[in-house]
Amino acid sequence: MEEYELASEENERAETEPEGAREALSRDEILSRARTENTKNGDERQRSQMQWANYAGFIAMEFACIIVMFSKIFMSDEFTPEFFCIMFTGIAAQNIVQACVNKNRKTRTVFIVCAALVTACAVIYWVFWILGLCGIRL
Amino acid sequence: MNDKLILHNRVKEFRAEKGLSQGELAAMVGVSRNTISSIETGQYCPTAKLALVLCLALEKKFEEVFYF
Repeated sequence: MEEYELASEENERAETEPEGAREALSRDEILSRARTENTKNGDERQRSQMQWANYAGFIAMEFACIIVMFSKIFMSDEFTPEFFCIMFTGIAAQNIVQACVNKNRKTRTVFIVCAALVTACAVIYWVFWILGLCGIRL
Repeated sequence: MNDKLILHNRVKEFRAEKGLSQGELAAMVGVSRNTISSIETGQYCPTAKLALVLCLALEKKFEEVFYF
């Protein structure tokens, strides 16, 4: 009990009177140091990684869908255009929203390109589907 | 019921109060404009270090800027 009290007293002292020379930095000094730390700032790296992981996942999913689509077209006799119509229309809509919402010029360009690509795929499948419904087989 | 503890902030409000743009605040604290935008929209939760630097830049107390 006594030991605990001593320890807590020491902790309290350490909190209120930290040992060593604690530099009292002014606002300007802190901001100036923060600015020079820019390139190795953990926040910057972390946020950027989070954002790119998000985009990478999104783009990977899209490419997987495109690969599936082409494999279905070239390697198989049967494929269900209605499924791809829905899938690609959904992905195209997501891409268009991302392209509109995103303010970063580089990532916005990526999303515009992806949106164009996926919308083209969606249109192809809609045409296939409608032609199929009309009884025309390509 | 949503039990998640979400850290909200008034960075946008105080930044506007000081007449700073996102880019200007970003330059003051040494991060990119995107980071400030992500913090303001709640997409990114800043580290304690950046949160304190932001408070200093905005000349506000921590609990005024960040709250639950």
